[in-house]
Amino acid sequence: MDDINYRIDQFDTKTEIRSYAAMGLVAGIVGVLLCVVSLMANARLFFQSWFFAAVFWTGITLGCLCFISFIHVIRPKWGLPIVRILEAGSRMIPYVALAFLPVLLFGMHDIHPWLQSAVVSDDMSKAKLTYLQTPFFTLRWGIYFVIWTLLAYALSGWSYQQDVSGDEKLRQLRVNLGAPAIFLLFITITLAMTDWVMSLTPNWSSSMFGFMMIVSQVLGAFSLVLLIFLIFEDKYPWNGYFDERTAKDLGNILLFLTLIWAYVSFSQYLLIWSADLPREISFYVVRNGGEWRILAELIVVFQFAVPFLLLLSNRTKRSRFMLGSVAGLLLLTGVLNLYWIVMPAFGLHRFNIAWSDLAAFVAVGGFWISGMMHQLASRNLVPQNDYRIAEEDMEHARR
Amino acid sequence: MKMRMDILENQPVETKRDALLEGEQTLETVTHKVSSIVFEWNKHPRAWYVSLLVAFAFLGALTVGVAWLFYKGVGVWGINIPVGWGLAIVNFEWWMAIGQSLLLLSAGLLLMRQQWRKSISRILESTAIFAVMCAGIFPILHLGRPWVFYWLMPLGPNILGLWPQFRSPLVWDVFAMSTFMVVATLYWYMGLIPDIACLRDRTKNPTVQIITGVLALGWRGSARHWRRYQTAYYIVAGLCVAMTISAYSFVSFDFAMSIIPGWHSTFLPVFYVAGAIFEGVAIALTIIIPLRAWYGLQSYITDVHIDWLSKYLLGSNMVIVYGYFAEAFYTWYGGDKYEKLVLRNQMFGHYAPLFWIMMACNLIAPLILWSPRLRRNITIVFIVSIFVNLGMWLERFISLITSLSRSYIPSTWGFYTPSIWEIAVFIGSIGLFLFLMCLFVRFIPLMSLTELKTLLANDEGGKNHSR
Repeated sequence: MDDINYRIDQFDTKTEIRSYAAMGLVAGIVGVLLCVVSLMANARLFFQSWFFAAVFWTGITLGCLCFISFIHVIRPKWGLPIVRILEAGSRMIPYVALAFLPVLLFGMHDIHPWLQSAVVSDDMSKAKLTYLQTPFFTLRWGIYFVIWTLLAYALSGWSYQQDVSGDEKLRQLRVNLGAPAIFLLFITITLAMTDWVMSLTPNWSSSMFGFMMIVSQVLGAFSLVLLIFLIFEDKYPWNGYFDERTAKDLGNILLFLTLIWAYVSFSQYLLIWSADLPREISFYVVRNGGEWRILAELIVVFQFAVPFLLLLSNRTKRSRFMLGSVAGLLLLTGVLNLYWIVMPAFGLHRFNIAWSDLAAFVAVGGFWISGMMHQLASRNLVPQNDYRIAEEDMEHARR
Repeated sequence: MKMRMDILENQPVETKRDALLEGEQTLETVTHKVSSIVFEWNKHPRAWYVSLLVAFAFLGALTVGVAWLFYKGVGVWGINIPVGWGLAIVNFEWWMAIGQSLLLLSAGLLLMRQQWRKSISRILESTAIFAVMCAGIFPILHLGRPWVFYWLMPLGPNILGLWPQFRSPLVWDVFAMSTFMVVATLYWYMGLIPDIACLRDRTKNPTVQIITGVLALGWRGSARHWRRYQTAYYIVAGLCVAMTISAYSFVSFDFAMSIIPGWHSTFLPVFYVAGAIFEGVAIALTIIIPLRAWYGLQSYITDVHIDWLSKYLLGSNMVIVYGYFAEAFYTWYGGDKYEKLVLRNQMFGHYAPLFWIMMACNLIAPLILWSPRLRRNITIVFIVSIFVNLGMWLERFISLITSLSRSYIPSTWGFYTPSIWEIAVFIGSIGLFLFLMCLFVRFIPLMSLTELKTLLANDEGGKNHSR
């Protein structure tokens, strides 16, 4: 009886979520149409734009997967309202794998310089060239996505099953898989980001890069998920969850991730800048020169300084509007940050957002949002049969 | 919202066992147990006296080592060109890591509102401060002319006629350490104030009354006191977290900012901070497990605490393993031949046996703790913690010494073997640490009374202790 009431109560919220899914679908279709035009106008530019969009949305999906694994391991109370949103995001892994296909099938030569014979210089070792060759590259691409899909579907599947069966063993299963999953994700994402992004500058390497990308992805994913939660915050069943304590916790997580992002980005920059070795500094010479520098400075101010100062204050964290704004800002600067990392590698010396960039971003992102909202609406919006709910109730009763 | 109590009923036994205090505890029993360790000094267990004896013996080694060093100069150590930094820097790093990470742990757990920190926070903080005291002797001793160590401080043109060289990592260490000591002592002392007031109110000895009365800074425990105290405590904890992470990253910059192969790695700051937590948690286990056995504190530092610490050990271990992976992978991927040479030397060169012992300690030994059953066996946890302490010391040794002994030009290659005097100073620093720990146990409440009582205060009368 309880269960039926619960499902009926969620109905209105789910309708609204589905309307977002429809909007995403429309945006995606419009984006794809624009992309077709852009493909005919300039195929090279189109593939670069599409590649960027695919890397960004894969990053958001992986960020969701990393964060949900972490939540399953430490089981925090503040995780309760966002668990389902994160799970819906992490289940988009097969979709983003598809998003890579156009580039993988037709655009590799427009993206990866080590495929162009003129660029392959003497200082690239033979082993590294073999490692990056298309067959092995594609094989690894497949392996990463198989691993990620299995992890995402196992973790979210067990969580959905527990809603129905209430079996506590499923919780333990998630803990047992979650901890090794985090480690596996760190290794695979590092390798993937090396393949896809670091190899765009063939002679450059930095041991912090994989870690830095993971932190950016988690920050981006958490900002998006927080934003979605705050949009629906006053709707059943989420309306009971944005109390002072949860708001503060979520805000602090955002602050913490921002700080970690700034810390790893700054460390990498400082160490490469101070050593000034030719094989390393080339990365920053391009990205800090010309008009890219303006973007770099914007990122420092709006991905670190402004959110940091705002999130220090409890007033920001308590206000739904302010916290949502900061999350939105961080999501936007996350896009710019990745743009600043990826795009200069294509030799676009002028900082110039092409319209094909926007089209591809909207196309991939529109379908992503649509699919994710659809996933979200097809299950309970907050986990049932979770002992944290009962604990929460006990605390409310005590107050 | 509807109450879903049935879910709690179905919980596995594991979570029900989350007791942070065991046995029948009231406000009175907690106060009595903790303050009796300080007051009934003639009832200290034999282990305390034995530790003190060992500490004195080791301190003797320190005295002899330092005296000989001052008499003859740093030439009595094994350092040479190219290995100009020997055991002194290895020990400095090792002690520093313990200090930074334990303070980080105590403050970080406070900010994360982790209840289980309450009975171990005092031990963590004290260990942190003592470890940094031990770290502090090494930079001074290695100076060559240690009696003018104050030249490193920015005393300015008025006193010294010139500024120190701000671009020297040695000067950064001075700033890192002095900042640490100020903030850590402040945090530690703030936590102590209500407890000292409690001792002041309980003691009958007039001398102790005067000393504790002064140290308690007029604490009366009024609501207003508590309110301000809580706010200030959280702010200082926030400072501690920011300071420890940045200070220890700076210590890693000592190496990473150079262009010496093996040192110059962008991941090094994260690796150092995670390595410090790994090492710090291990040393916390090494200290807490015997302490709670000797003083019968099992009801206060329960198996839950040990379990949590072990999990933190595992978590930081994963970052370390990731660090080894990233280091090896990017050395290969980057293709720099000097970086490759360093890695090969670590694995198969002169110091290779140490490298493989380190790998066994840092990679294999912690794997044991993945099993919940073994993790609940206190003896096994203790043994693993010893392995990790050793492994992290070797980690410093290998990363620092191998890179220096095999750098760019073959004509500058050389080896380093620590001399007996360096080893004496290292053992001596352990003695100093042990001695300070003995004093701490004797004179200062081992656990924060205030914090422990908040575990009771959740329910009426302070009698229920379930959570």
